[in-house]
Amino acid sequence: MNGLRLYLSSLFSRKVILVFALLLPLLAVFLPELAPTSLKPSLIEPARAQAAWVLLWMATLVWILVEASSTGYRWRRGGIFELLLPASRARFPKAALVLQINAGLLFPSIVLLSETMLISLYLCAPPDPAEARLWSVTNFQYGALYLIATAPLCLLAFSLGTRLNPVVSWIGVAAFLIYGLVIQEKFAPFLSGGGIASSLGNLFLPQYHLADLTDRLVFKLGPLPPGVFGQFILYFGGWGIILSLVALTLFRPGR
Amino acid sequence: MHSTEISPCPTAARGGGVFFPKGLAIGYRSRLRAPVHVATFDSEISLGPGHYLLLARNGSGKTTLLRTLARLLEPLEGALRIDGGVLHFCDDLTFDAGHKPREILRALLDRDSFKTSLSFAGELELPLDRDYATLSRGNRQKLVAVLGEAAAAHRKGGCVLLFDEPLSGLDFVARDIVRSWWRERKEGVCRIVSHHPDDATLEADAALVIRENTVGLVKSTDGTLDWSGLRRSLFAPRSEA
Repeated sequence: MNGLRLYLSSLFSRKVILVFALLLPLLAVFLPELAPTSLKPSLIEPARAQAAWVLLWMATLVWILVEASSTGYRWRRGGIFELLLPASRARFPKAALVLQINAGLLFPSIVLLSETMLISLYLCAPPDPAEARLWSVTNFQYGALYLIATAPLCLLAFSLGTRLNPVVSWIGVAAFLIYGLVIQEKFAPFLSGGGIASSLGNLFLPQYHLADLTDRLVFKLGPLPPGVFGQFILYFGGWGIILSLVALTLFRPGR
Repeated sequence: MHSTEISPCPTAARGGGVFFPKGLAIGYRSRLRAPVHVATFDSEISLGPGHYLLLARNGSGKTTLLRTLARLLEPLEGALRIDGGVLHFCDDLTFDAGHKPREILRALLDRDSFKTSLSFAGELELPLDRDYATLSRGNRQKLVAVLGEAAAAHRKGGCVLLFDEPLSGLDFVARDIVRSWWRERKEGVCRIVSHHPDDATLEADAALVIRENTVGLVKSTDGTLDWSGLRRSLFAPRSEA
């Protein structure tokens, strides 16, 4: 009995993935048309890339994390873990089950990420071949950072969902992401005077804004230097290990 | 360290068996409080492939014993031996609302088991293409029975199948079909079914009875358990039973 297959089957039967998979490209293509870009038509392509990536982060926040926490909650209440866990033949059944289901929870992220990258690479790439190559590299770096940063958050939301109300677990994980993605960077000048609290925040909360390369795309700053990209991957990989261990500890299969 | 050992069971020649040693205690552990003892086996019990009822009054430990067998709870004392895989179906197993029985069966079963499940579902008249949320309690229980039996039918190395009150919502026709399925398919499957008896006679190879925090075994005569005798052993004080 396979939790991944059960999750994917349930996901497709609910069809929410179709709504998001249709909305993201439609909004990414047509929303920039609403802006007054007629003054400078060359702006519309970077605006589309920006819209696509921002919509991906928003979909992660309002759907993928909600889906993860509500799946943890529903399946524990419904006794599905009590069915899957004893049937497992893995050496570490609990860890295997959590990873199996989370591979399924990553599927919507991968679908939406693929759409975002297709829009960005095929509809928004600069015409100059040299610039287009740099644009592609930046997009692939962005995709890798997005996945490595958000996958452990899905795992955490799912595990918290097995313990808490799904709204509470979603708010907790979403606040974690919003702080790292938006507040830490945009409000840095205001927080820098915060002394110890601000320093502890920077130290003990992940800096998700480092995984957000939207500005590099919009302002055509080019990809991250390989050394810096490697450091970012290590940084989010480290956070991923910490969050995954916390999530495995928090996971509660029984009622 | 989990004290449930998975090793060959002395009674099960072809897989699908459980061995409960004397003194095995079941209950709940807590990090903050003292363990809650539910029941103890006062003699060793070996179950091979066959059909066994689990009988007890409310709150006596039926679900605790099933959850211990499913390795969801650790025994408080002693080590349980299980031969074969374990499939555990709790009494209120609930799938996602929009999921259809056919999709659930296809997702959870391999190809051969899925074919078996379709045939058993046909016998039970389970509507396979309706949303799970719209299924009646009886139809949800049919889905559980179909899922468990189809998975067990093709499980290599035998299987211990644990059902928590699987018949309570079924009509009499469906009950007969499920019972006849159980009667005909005992090979390699040790079925332990918690049950609230409502028939004069109960068809089973034996019954595990939990009474006054003690688990004992009542054997059947010719595959039938006498309910009046069981009733006495369940409700009368131990000295009178």
